[in-house]
Amino acid sequence: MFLSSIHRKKIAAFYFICFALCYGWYYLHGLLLHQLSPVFFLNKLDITVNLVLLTNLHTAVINNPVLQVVLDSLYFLLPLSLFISCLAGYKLQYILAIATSAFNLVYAILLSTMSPLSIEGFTGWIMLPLVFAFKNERSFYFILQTMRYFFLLIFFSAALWKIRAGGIFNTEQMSAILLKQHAAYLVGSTGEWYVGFINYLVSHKILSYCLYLAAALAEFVFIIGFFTKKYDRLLIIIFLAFALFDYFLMGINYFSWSAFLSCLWFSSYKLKTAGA
Amino acid sequence: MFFKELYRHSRAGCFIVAVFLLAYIYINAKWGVVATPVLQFGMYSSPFHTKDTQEVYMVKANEKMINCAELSFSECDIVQLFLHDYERQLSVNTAVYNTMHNYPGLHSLMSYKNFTNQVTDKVFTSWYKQKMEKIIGEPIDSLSVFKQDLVWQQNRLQASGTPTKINFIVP
Repeated sequence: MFLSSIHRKKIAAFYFICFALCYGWYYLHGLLLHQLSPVFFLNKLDITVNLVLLTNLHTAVINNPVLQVVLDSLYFLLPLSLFISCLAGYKLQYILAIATSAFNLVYAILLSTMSPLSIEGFTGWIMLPLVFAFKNERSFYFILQTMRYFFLLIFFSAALWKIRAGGIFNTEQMSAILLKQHAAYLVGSTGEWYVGFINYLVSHKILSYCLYLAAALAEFVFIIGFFTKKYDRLLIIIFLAFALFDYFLMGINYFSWSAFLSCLWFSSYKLKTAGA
Repeated sequence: MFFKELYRHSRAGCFIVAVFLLAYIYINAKWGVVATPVLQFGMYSSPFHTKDTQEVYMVKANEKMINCAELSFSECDIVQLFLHDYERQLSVNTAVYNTMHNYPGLHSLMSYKNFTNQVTDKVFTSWYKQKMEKIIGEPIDSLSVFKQDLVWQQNRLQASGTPTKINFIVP
C-alpha cells in the first residue's frame, strides 16, 4: 500500500479527534487557562520554558482573563483550522501546521507552569502538527516516520530511565509510588473500593512490583520498532494498555499521546516511487 | 537505513533530525536541564520506599475536612498540588532563576522580578477558596489548611506527629 493524500487526511482527522477529546477532558476538569484563572506560576529547569518567560507573557496571562480566553480559543481553533485545511487541501495548511506547533508549545508551557498538568503530556500536540507542514508526499512520508521514531524513543528512554535511576531494582518501588501518588486518597478513606484496592497493592509489594516490571517491559519493547515495523500494531495495543493502566492505577492521563498512534498505524505504507 | 533515505531526500531534514536526536541523548544523559520538546521521561524512575514519610495537606472548609477519597483524580490534584506548588514557588523560582541566569545569552535578559511571582498570600487564599467552593459545591466561610506527615504502618497509612498549620492561607 502506498501513502497518499487520503492517508494525510485520515491522519489529520485522527489527530483532531484525539485533540478535541483531550481538550474536552481539560474543559470538563476545569483545567483550561480561563477556568483556572491562575494567580501564580512555577518555573522549571527548562531552557524553552525560560525563553518563553523572558517575553513576560506569563505575567500578562495571570492578570488578564480576556487573554486567557483568547489563548484557550486559539488552542482549539488552530488545530481545527489545520484539520479543515488538510481535508480541503488548502495551501494554508503548511503555514497553519507550523503556527499550530509553535502556538501549542507556548500554550503548553504557560499551562504547565500554572496548573498541575505536566508538559510531557503536550508533546504530541507540539510535535504532530509538523506532519502537515510539508507539501510533497515524500516529505510527508519522512516526517511521519520521524514522528514514529520520536514516539518510540519516548517509550524506550522511559524504560532506560527506570534502569539507570535504579527504580527497577527496587522490589517495593510500585508500593511506594502508589503511596506517594495516592497519599491524600488513602488517608481520607471511608471504605471506598478504590482505596481498598490501592491499599491491597501497597501491602502486596511483590504483586505491585510485578506491575512496575510489566510497565517497564511494555516501555522497553518499543525498541523493536527501531528494527522493524512488523509489530507496530502490537505496539499500539501495548500503548493503549499502558495508558489505561496508568490512568486507573496512577491517575495519570497519557491518552494525550494517542495521536502518535497514527504514525505506527501507517508506518508500513510505502512511498510511491517514480516507477511505481 | 532511515537516516540514509532521509539524507538522500533532504540533507537539511536529516541534519535537523540528527540534531534533535543528539539533543535528546545529551539532555537525557546529562540528567538536569531540559529544553521542551526535548524532555526526560523519567518520572518515578528513582527508587522510592514504603517507609518514606508522605506529606498531605488537610483542607478544612466550613469546619469540615475535604476528603480526597470522595473526589476525582483531578479534583484531588487541585486540592493538593496548588498548595504544594504555591508553598515552594518562591524557592523553586529563585533556584531556577539562579541556574538559568548563568546560561550564556540569558544573563543580561533575565530580570528577577519577571521570574518570580508578585502574588500575595491573601490573593492566593481568595483564589484557592474559590477553587474549593467549586469542588465542594457550597460557599466557604472558614478555610484552614494543615500539613500532615504520614507513614505506612500495619498495612495502612497513618498520621505521624502533629499537623502543622499552613500560614500562607490567611483569614
